[in-house]
Parts: sequence; C-alpha cells; structure tokens
Amino acid sequence: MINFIENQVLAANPFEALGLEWQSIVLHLIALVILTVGLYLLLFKPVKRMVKERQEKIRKIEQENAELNAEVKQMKESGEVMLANAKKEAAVIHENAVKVANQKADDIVADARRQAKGMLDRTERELEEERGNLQADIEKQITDVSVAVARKILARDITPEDDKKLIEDSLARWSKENNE
Amino acid sequence: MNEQRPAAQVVLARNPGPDTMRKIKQFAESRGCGRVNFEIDPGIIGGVVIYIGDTVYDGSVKSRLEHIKGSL
Repeated sequence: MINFIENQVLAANPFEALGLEWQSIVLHLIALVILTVGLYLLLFKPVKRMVKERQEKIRKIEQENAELNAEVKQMKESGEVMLANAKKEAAVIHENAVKVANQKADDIVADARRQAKGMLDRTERELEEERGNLQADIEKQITDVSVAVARKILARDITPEDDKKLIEDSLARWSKENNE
Repeated sequence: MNEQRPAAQVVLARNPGPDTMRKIKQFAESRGCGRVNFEIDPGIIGGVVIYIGDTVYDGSVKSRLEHIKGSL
C-alpha cells in the first residue's frame, strides 16, 4: 500500500522521481538561454556577418564580372565596328589608289603620245625645211647653170650690131630718164 | 677748163664703132664730163657701163643677166 502511494507521489512530480529539482531546471533553462544568446552574439552574428560580407563580395565580384563582360562585349562590338570601318576605309583608299594609278597611267600615255607627236611634227618640219633648202639649192644651181649657159651663148652670139643697138638703147633710156 | 670737169669711165665689151662712141661722148658731156676714157672688158658680154663720179650707168648684158638671176 505504501508503495502504491509512493508511486502516486512520484507520478505527481516526475522531476522529483528523476531526481531533478525545478530550480535546477530553471537554472538550466536560464543557462541555456544565456548560452544561446551568447552563442548568438559571439558566434552566429559574426558568422552571419561574415557570410553576408562574403555574399556581398561575391555579388560585387559578379557585378564586376558582368560589367567586365559587358565592357568586353562592347569592346568586341566596337572592335568589329572599327574593323568594318577600317575595311571600308581600306577599300576607299584602294579604290582611290587605283583611280590615281589609272589617272597617272593615262597621263603618262598622253604625255608619251604628246611627245611622240611633237617629235613627229618636229621631224616633219625638219624634213620640210630640208626639202625646201634642197629645192632652193637645186633652183639656185639651175639658175646659176642657166645664167652661165645664157652668158656663154650671149657672149658667143651677140653681134656687133646687137651690141651697138644695146648701147644706143641704153643711152636713149638714160637720156629720157634724165629729161623726165 | 676740162681739167676741172670730171672724167667719165666707159666700159665696153668691144669697139662699137665711131658713131656709137660719139654718142657715148655726147651723153657723158651732157652729164658734165670734160673727157671720156674708154676701156674694153669682154666680161660685160655686151652693152655699156659708164662711171661718172659716184654715178654708175649700167646697161651691160652682164648686169641684166645678174638681174634676171636675182629675180629667179
């Protein structure tokens, strides 16, 4: 019977049955709270802050990475544009160079033709001049020969009567000119 | 008197005879000449050349040929 009562008492206060007192439990709870708060303040918070900082750092790195990627992309696009522009400019320069070269070639050909024409004209002039000189020389020789032949014929064929007539005609002409 | 008047120099290809020589003298005298010197030069071919001072009367065949030559 006594055991039964004791069992009833034990059932009414199980802590006591386990050998624990409520003060001890409260103290343990308080210690647990203090430990929890201490851990929160001394360990969890710094760790949380460190994790947050790490996350922030990672976010910054990612942002920088994204910015760098964007910058690289922009530079790549800019480079492509510059390359396209450079190609266009090179094409224009090449086209202009071809034009200039063609123009120079045309000028050289035209100059050569002009010089050739000048040489041809000069040669024709010289030939014409030479032909004229030759013709004049031939005419002079013909004249000289003709006059020499005429002189010989006249010297041989003029009679004294012809000579007398020539003299008297000359005297008459000079007298007439003097009177006029 | 004749010494003061200029002399005429007459060049002929041959002797033209006295009549023509007289006409030449008359011509020279009409130009104020006191005397006339005759000279034979077959080189003038025919005709006459008369020098009176600085004046030359050239009626020679040679000068006519030269004139024709110049024209040609």
